[in-house]
Amino acid sequence: MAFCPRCGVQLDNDVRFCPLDGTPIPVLEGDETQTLAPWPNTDPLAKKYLTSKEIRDRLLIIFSGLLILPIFVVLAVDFYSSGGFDGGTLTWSLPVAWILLCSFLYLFFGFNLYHAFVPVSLSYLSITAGLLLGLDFFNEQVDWFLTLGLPILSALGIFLLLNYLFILKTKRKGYNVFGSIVASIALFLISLDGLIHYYLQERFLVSWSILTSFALVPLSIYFFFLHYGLKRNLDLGRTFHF
Amino acid sequence: MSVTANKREWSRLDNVGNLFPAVQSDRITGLFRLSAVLDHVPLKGLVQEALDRILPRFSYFNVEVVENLFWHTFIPAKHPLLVLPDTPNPNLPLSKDSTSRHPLRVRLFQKRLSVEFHHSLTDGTGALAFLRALLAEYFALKGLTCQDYLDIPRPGSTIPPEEYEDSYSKLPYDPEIPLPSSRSPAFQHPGKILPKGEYRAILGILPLDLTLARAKARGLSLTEFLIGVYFLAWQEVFFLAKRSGKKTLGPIRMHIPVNLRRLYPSSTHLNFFLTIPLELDPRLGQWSDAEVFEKVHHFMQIEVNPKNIRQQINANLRGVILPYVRVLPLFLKKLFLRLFYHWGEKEQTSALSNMGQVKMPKEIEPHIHRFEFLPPPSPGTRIAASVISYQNVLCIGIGRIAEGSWVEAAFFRRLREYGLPVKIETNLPKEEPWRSAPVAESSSITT
Repeated sequence: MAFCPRCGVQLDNDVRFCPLDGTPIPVLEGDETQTLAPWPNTDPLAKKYLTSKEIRDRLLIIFSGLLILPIFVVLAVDFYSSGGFDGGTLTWSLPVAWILLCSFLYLFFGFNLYHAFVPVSLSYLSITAGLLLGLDFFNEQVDWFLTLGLPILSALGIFLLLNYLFILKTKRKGYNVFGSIVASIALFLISLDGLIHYYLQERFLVSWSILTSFALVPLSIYFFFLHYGLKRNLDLGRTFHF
Repeated sequence: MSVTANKREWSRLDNVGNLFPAVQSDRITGLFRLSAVLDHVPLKGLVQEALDRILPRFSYFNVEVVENLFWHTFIPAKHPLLVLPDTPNPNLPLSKDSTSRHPLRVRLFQKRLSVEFHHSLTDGTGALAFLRALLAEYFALKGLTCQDYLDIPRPGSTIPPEEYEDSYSKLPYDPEIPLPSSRSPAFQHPGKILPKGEYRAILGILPLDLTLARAKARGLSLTEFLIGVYFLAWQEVFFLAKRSGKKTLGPIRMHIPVNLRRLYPSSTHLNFFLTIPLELDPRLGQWSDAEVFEKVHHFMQIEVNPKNIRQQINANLRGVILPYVRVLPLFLKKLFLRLFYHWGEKEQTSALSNMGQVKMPKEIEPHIHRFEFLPPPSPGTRIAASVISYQNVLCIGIGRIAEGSWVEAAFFRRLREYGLPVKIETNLPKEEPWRSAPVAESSSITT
C-alpha cells in the first residue's frame, strides 16, 4: 500500500506522484496487491483535437496558397500575353504580384508573431515600407516614397512606439490608455497633414488636422482627467455627502 | 406517438432533456458515467450478450437523437449498441459517426463495467436502473441466478408506460407563479481550461460507516456533511485565489441535484430532477466548519420544499409550453438555449450530486466491489463532484476540465482530518504531476 506522506491518502502502488498535491511517492517493491491498472492509458479511437497552433498553421497554409498561387498565375498571363518567349516582358503583373507577396508577408508575420506587439509592429511597418517602395519603383521611378511614404510610416512608427512605452510603463492602466491612444492619433494626424502639405507645397502647413485636433485633444484630456483627476483628487462622496 | 415503447417511431425529449443536445459541444458533452467494479475481469462477449438481452427491455434508451425543424427528437437506433473499450478520459463527446449515434455507451476496462449516458436521455436514476439490470443479466448469463431481483427489470418483462413518461409535463403549467430571481455571478474554478477531450477524474474511496458516523455526530445527513466539506474546500480555494490577486470573486454557489421522484409520484427512467442552489459567501469572512455545516443543514431543510421546486419546474416548462417558444425554429432555440445555459453556468461554482446507496440482489452483492459515478464536464463550472455508495464503500468522484487539483486536494485532505481513510484512484498520468501540481507551482494561482 502506498500513501502520500503529505496528505495521507492511500494510492495505487505504481503512482509516482500524489494526484492531489504532487508530492513524490516512494517506490514500494515487492507489494503485489495491485496487479491491474485502474484506468486505460491510451485510446486509439480518441478524436484528435487540433491545438490552437495547429489550427493557425493550417489556416496559414490555406491562405498562403490562396495568395502565392495567383502570383505565378498573373506573372504567367502577363508574360504570355506580351509575347511569351518571343520577347515577352512583365509589366502590369509586377505590382499585382508585389501586393500579393506583401499580403502573404503580412499574413505570415501576423500568424507567427501575433502575441508580440513590438516585433509584429516592426514587421508590419517594414512590409508596408517595402510595399510602398515597390509600388513607387514599378512606376518607373522612385518618386513619392522617399518624400511622403517613408516619413508618414516613420511618424506612425514613432507614435506607436511612444504609445507602447506609455502603456508599458504606466502602473495603473485604465482610461489613461484611451487618453494616450487618442492623443497619439491627434498628433499623428497633425504630422500627416504637415507631411502631405510639405510634399505638395514644399512647406510645413497644417489645415484640416486642426479640426480633428479640436475633437481629439479635449477627448484625450477628458480620458486623462477621468483616470488621474477623478480618482485621486475629486472625492464625490465628500462633495455630495453620499 | 404510439403507446408501447417497443413500437414507437419517435418520441419527445423530456423537459430537461431538451436542453442538452442544444448546448452540446466538444466540451459540454452532457455525458455522465456510472461504473461497477467487479471482483473479476468480465468477458466482453458475455457483457455484449447481456447488453443485447437487456436493451429491448429498455427500448426507450435504444434510440438516437435527430434534429427536426423545431425540436430534437428520439428515433429508434438503426445500429446495434456495442460494448466499447474504455478510454483514459471518460465522458467524451458523443460520436458523430453514422454507425454509433446512441446517446449512451457501454464501456469495459479490466474489472470496471461502465455506462455513459447523455443527459438528454436520462438522469442518474435511469442510468443506474440500466446498469443494475445489465449487471444482473451478466451474472445470470454467468450462471448466478437470484431468488429476489429486487426492483431490477428483467429481460422479457413488460415495459410499464410510466418508465418512459415525461414526469415534468404531468405537472400543470401555472402562469401565475413568478420566475425565480436571477443571481449574481459566482466564484469560478481559477484553473486554466484543459485541452478539448481531456477530463481529469479523481475518485476517493471511503468507508461508508465511518463517514456516516462523522456526519451523524454533527447531526447531519451524509449529503449535508459532504456538501459542507466541499464548501470548506472551495473556501480554501477562494482565499488562495484572493491572495493571488484575483479580483472578480463572487460567492461560492453549489448546485445540488434533487431527485424529484421523492417529492412527486413518478417511476420514470427519463430525467426527473432539478438542482437547488446553496450559497456560501466568503467575501463576508472566513466561515468555520461548524458554521458551514449549520448553514448547509438549515439551507437544505428550507430549500428542498415543493413550493420552491414547483417554481423552478414551472420556469422550465415555459420552454415547451409557451406558443411563441414552440414556433421558434430549432436553430434559434439552440441559440437562445446556449445563451441561457452559459448565463446560468456563471451563477454556479460547482455541483455535488449524491446518488445514494445502490442495492443489488444478495447473491450478486459479493461480486461487486463498488459503484462509481463521474459527473458531466462543462466549461462553465469546470469541476463537479458526485457521490455513490454500495455496501460499505462510499465513492466520491470529482471530475474537472480545468488545470489544478486544489479543490480535490482540499476536499480529501479535510476528510482525512476528520479521521476518514481515503483511497485515491485517478486517470491522471502517473508520471506527469504537473496537471495536479500544488498551488504554488501553478501558473494561475500563486500563494
